[in-house]
Amino acid sequence: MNPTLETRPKSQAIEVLLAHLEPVIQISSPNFWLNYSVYLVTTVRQEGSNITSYRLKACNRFRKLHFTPGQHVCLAVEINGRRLERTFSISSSHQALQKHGYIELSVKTQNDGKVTPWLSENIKPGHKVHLRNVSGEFTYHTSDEEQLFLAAGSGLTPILSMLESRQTTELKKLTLLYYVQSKTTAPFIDRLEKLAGEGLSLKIIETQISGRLTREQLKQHANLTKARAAYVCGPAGFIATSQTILKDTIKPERIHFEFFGLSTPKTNDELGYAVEVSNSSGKQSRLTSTGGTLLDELEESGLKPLYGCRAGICHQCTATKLSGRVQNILTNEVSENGTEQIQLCLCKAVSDTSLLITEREA
Amino acid sequence: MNPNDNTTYTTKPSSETLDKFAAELDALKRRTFAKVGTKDARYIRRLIAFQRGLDITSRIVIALGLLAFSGSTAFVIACIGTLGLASAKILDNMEIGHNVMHGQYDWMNDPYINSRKFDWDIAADSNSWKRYHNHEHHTYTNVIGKDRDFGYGLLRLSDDIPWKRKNLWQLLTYLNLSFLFEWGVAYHELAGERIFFGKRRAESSLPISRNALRTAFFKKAGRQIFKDYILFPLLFWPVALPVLICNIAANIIRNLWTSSIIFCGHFTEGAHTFSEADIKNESKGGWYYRQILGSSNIEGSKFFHVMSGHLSCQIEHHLFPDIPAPHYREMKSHVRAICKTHGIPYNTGRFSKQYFEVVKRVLSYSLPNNQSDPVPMREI
Repeated sequence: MNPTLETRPKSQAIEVLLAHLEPVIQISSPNFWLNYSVYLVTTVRQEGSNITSYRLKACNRFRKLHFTPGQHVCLAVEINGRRLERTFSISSSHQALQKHGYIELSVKTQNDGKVTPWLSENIKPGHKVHLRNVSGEFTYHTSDEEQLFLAAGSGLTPILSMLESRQTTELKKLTLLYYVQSKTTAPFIDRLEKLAGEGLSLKIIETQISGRLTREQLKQHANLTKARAAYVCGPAGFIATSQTILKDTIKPERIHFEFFGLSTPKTNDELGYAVEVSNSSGKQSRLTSTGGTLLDELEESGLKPLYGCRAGICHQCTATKLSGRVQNILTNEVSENGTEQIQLCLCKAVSDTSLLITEREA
Repeated sequence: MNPNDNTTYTTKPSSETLDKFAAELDALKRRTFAKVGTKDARYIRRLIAFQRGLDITSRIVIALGLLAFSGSTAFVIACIGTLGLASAKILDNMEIGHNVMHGQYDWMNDPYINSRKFDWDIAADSNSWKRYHNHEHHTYTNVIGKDRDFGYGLLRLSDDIPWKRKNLWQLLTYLNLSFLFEWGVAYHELAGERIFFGKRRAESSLPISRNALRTAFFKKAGRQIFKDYILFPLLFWPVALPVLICNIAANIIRNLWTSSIIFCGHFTEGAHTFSEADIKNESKGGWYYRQILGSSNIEGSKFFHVMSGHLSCQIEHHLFPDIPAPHYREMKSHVRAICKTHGIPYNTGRFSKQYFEVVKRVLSYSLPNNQSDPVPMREI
């Protein structure tokens, strides 16, 4: 993983100085956000019923973007004064960037979300957005052997980028099974059919008619014994089912997958949520959250997060939530999925969550 | 309305009254939070930009004035520059630093303008200040033995504190503290933890090692001394000495202003103190009530409120420490009205009046067991 969109690594002193002066620089260039790159929206396109593609070109042509097809990028916007960040897969090919200098992000509108409905309503050609941190391990590994791709709905986006970046000779060895509700409303069909014309073996499976993924169905559409590697992208359930079926014939380390979609608060929290914690020195740990405040649960698991009043007044226990949704126990407000500062003493996890905390030193 | 409503009030309201009182304040808090947004983000960014500009312009004005002119012209220009630099420091410490470090702007998700990252132009290490100020002082406001901000371990401002001989000249101690206020703020936590002098505390909630506390103190203090007293004077070498004097003067002006505002917030005649027994099983309403009794406001213009970091709305700040401070101005009248309906005192007045009361209080507790208290100092 290589965060290639980051600007050149700055020394800490320069970063501190720039952060100190950022509001001054913003008076003449309001789009200057330290450590973000500014992108111009050139085209906005509706794909199917609820996916919008944004074509973006870098405003600073000296700052080259690099990405490996399959990777994602953080898109940040300011909504009512709040900077909100979401991670989206790049859906355009490597060649599109090389030859034409653009990338595309295809965003599924989550109706109960804060960011995606705002994007589809507010972002028009000519607007500027901020990107940072291209990352992701879900990338294509070149191979002479047959490879299988499984995509469900908007989970196609990283796979589309991988496939469109391949040469025709390579495409002939690849099979894509694309699960959609119905072909008429499904996005990206024209682009996939073009790839099929170049040699990709394409099966579009309409879940309305054929139902969800099963072993028999998979066997019927793909030659499982020949495939040496698989790439799966879709909702959690889709990934779990595919893994169970695929691991009979494909080595587990060759089943690449990426979870897609908004993690939703579950009503049944008996099993708890997985909380991944890293501290400022990079130490990682995991725990299961079962409904207590994150501060209590981190302490129970043996961590020593910084805290003060334990009542939401002093902000000593403020930590960075990298992903996941949490609920404020005083206001019952449920957060969004993206990166945010949260008070550990006031929050409980309502989905799997990833945190960056500061620990006590003594 | 009589600004000293509290003189007429002595007994603690019933728990039902306090519950109703808390519900009304909570509702006001929710209504205000709903209004927080783009305007506040723009305000704080613009203010920071203005402050940065004022800081550097003032430093240049001081140096150019001294380099290009002589005699009284140079003196006047240097004075103007010094006032500008002092104002920049006041804005940085109060309306920006104090409020950002309270978490008032954490909702913006800005990677730098937040309570964890922001650092201020003052000798005190921001992490140390956040520990004792946000936690100790704001949770245990004016609780004797818990809130070390009450008299800063130097002044006797209540009969709950045993009288010592040194209290006789505590007005001088107070003036000293005012002049050197930033060092008092910087040394506060180290004094409490007895890092250099005194017997080590048996119990300490210090989340870092004593060594780390000492290192952070020297690091921040060293950086401030280097910046104001070495780097900038040397940058303008031929006038290094007068530049140094201007920088010292700017820091002193800032110290006098900040300490005066802060003392008016908690040590006026009517500001109550509490014992640890008072806060056992305290309800939300009880906490709100204690914050109001322990704080006092200063009346003034919008400019005055901004220059005091809205600590002139000390009562609102103590009730809602993480609401962006400019909203305190509009909340004031609502809080006062809520207090009035429940018969709870609300201490407010002009700066001169409040400051006079502070000096009076410092003086009156210089002597042992002051019996002439105009107000009962303890709530039972």
